[in-house]
Amino acid sequence: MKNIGEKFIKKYNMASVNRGLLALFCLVTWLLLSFYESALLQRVDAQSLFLFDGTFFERSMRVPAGFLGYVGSFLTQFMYYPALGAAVFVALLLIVYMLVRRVFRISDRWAVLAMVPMFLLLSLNTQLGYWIYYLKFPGYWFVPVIGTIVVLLAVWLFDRASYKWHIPVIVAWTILGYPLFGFYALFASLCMAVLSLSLAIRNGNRMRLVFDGVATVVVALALIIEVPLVCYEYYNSMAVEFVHTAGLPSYHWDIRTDHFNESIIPYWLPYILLFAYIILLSVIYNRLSSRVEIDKRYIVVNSLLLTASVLFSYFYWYSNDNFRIENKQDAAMWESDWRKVADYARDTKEPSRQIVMNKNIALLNLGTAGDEMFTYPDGSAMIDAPMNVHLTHTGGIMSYYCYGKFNFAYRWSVENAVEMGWKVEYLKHAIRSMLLQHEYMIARRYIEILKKAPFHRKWALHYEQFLDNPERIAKEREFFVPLQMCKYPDVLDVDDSYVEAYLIKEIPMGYTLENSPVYNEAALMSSLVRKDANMFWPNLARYLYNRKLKRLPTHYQEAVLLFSNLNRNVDVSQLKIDNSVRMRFNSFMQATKRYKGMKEEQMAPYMLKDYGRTYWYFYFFVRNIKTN
Amino acid sequence: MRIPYIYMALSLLLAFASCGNPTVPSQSSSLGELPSIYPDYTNVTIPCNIAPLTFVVNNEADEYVTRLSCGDHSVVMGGKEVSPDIDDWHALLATAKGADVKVEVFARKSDKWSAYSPFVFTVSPDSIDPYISYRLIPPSYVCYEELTISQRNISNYDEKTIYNNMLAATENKGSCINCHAYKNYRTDNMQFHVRQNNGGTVFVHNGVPVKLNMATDSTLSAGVYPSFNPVYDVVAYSVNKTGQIFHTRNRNKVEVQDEKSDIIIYNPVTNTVTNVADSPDDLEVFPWWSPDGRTLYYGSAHFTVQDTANTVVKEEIIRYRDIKYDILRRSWNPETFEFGPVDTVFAATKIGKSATFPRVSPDNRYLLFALGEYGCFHVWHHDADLHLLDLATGESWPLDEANSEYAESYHSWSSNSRWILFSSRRDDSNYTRLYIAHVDADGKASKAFVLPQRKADFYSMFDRSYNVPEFMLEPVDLAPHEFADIVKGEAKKVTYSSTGR
Repeated sequence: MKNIGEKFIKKYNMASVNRGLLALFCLVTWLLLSFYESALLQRVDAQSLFLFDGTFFERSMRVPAGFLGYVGSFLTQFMYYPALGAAVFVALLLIVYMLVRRVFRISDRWAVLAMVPMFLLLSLNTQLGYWIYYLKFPGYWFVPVIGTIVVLLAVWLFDRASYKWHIPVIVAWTILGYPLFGFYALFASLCMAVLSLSLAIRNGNRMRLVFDGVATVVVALALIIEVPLVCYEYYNSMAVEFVHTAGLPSYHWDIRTDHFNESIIPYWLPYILLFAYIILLSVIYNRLSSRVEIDKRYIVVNSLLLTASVLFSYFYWYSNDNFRIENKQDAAMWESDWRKVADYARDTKEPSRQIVMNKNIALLNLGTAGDEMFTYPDGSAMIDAPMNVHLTHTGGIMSYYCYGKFNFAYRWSVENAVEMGWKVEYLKHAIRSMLLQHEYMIARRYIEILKKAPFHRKWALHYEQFLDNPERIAKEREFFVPLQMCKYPDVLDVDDSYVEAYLIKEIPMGYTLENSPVYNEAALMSSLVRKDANMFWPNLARYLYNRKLKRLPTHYQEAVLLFSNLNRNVDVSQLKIDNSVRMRFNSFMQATKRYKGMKEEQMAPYMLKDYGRTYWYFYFFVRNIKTN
Repeated sequence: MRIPYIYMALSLLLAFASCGNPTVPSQSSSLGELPSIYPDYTNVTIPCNIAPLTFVVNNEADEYVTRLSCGDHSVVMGGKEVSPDIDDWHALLATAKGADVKVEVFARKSDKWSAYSPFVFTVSPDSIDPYISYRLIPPSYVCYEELTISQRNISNYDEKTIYNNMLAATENKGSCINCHAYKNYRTDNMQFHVRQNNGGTVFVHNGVPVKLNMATDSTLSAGVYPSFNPVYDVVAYSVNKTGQIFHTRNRNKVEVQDEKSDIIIYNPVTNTVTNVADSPDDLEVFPWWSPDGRTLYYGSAHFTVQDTANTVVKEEIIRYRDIKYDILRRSWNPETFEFGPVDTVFAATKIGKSATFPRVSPDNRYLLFALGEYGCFHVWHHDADLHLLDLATGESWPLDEANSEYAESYHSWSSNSRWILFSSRRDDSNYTRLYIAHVDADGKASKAFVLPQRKADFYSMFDRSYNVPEFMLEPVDLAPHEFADIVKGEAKKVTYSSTGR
């Protein structure tokens, strides 16, 4: 093995091997981000906002590290096209690699060491999952990589200066850099101090050790502590406890308990490793520059390091199927591609409630809910995140919009914008909901803002045409179902942040003579999800009255049989039930008798195969649904 | 996709290319119409010490020239955005005091110059108080993040933060700040509330700041809506149990309702509070002292539960349109701390309306209030308008010149009683902006104009609402971080006194 490795490296020389590894890393990362995570990247863009506008820039600069956030937001918009956004990100990782090698003078022999920060910076983002809805600092995807580049450039600049200039450089850098780069400027100052001390120790001159090494460390530490405190009084926009960490993500606390929680530690680990690694490189500066022959020691160390980095990135990649499906569904919903939205819901064993809701909305739009809605996996998979994830923060606004609850869609767009800052997604929801609510002044305001977002200008212009021609709103296919759903009387109400629970309770109760056939179907669907026979019968009557159908869809037939069987006072003799449905119901009832004595959860696997695509299975075996 | 950066570069080049001194065209044809400008400053009455009124000409043209003139004094500017130099502006206003500044806009298309019909800024000799303060808040409902109480010098554009809630906030422990108020337009006696995290009332008494815990067992809540007595050392507060509930379709979006509310007064000398009005079936709110400090005005709604199966909250949700406020007043004896009987000043309920937020002009001539169809939180009611009541005659009328078809509310008088400052949602129906209107001795208002900003299109991108605008004669000198230290400190407990002394 040893011989093979050494022969290979000798044959192709180190530089070629490094280039090969680098190319492989870049290609794999780009492919994974562009294709496997394309929906995530699009969602990250939707959860960001960059405006080409002076006021936007000024507001960005009103906090320490604001410039970093501004640049981060600027770059995030390229994720509108995932392949482009991924390419930009990979290019920045490459710059980090090159800078690490140049700044710390790492030879080809140890070049793998320069790849470690790339893996860590990748993991910082791929670990995020549901945090994309909760991180408040703008441009968070790109901030760490830009911040790292800034640190490396600053250290490089410092290294170029004569040691007599070390203290002036560090003073100027910290004072000027902190407002722009926040924590990263302070960290760069620390790296400079470590580098200075390391060089002074190596120099062996006691005077230099004192007046360069030790003095630089003392000055740097004083500046790192004091500059943010002075700026705190100038900015007036941040608690003093956070001034030193401006620009770092905000997962300090468990949102549920507001106490430090060990579940947050893993999210910090890539940061800690990255910063510790750069400090280490500052300590061993220039000691990895020798161009000696490759030996066993090199191969073992580099292979281990590379393997560890790959494994770290693999395990830090948030790979929750439901999260990915939700993002794919969201993208398809914006495109009104309802078939795709429904089909994605089949790609999971147990869906989150968001997936189920999106699927039902899709089927309502496709008009196939009565025959399809219980043929998909159902349940309420726990959200894999350390915080309480509410639908109001993720896909709930879309649900409100699709169900014609425009005021609620608007309300949550604004509430979220208040907490997290305006994002593209919130602006789009606010525009659409206010457009359909016929509140054109406020819709125009948001359209004018979104027109300044370069990648979303086209979208804004598309919706602007409806402001100028409101009569076209009613004719637009895209708006048909939301407008049909918006036929209910105004009442004062509150959702307590539980979107699904609110919708399935309110829709069946929102009966008026105004109700449309679409509304009736949504009411019927909701009463089935609620397993509420009392709501089912009146809504079924309205549905039948409005639809004049030749055949009642299968799930509604199944519900008729089930509810009439549970309550024999209901006369369903006038309803035409397919023989196949009736026979399957009888067989279902016999099967339940066959497994008599078992608990529901024990019985469920046996019933799943034959009846898993029926309302009966949902009614009896999909239990303990917990909506978020 | 458009590439706006190219446009920006081209704009910069064009800007440099057109940097010469603009001159009024010697020949132009009259268009016979007013230019379309934003904000709409056409034919407004302005104070003689206001900051320059910057505006954008929306009419399309290749080149623009605008001339502001009064007699021989003129200021000429080029460009679509009209932004007078501040020194030139104030010199012009000094010349035009009591007269009109004529505004002429010329536009060139190809090689032909046209002149829009001129309009005027009528420069009132009545000056306006030099400072205002307001809370900047997103137009949200329940959630909040960054809120600031800010002060602005309205002779120029300088804005400073009085307090920013983020100064004492952690990631998940935020605090709401609200209800800043001053005594007699001065800042050595002032207050604002902090809710939730680090909650309390930051109260500055004769220049000394302290945090108070105003909740007692004998009062409904800690103090909410405040009014400093302009003469005596007491502050009136409403105490409220407030909730929010949301419209599913109505464009008003939300109702802010009081389940219960009373009036208390706080004596900062003895650090005690006492109840003033605490009738169980009446909702008393928004107290305001008369200029002599001997009468307390407030809004009051009588509301009783009709269906005994309902709670007050539930019934208020069902019958929200039945909650209507009148404006009442009670005399107050500063020696005995005793209040006289209730006197109805404006019986809004008799006309099926709801009147809140009474503000008496410092000359004790007029009562300014907001009138809507129902409820007390008119900032969310599109139908809410400002009304004026002549305290001498009892006659009242809407301030049509200042009102719009959107919500007007949260108003205050300048110290010379000639200017009103209020929030309005007329710009886009959601974001409140501050408007200023002149009110003459006969109670006639002029056309209101939006608070001028350095950039004419500032409001189109500014994502905060302005609320609780207050005039001030001097700025708040305490620094935000000094307030933060107070906020983070322990609150001094207020005690209850049945006599108030």
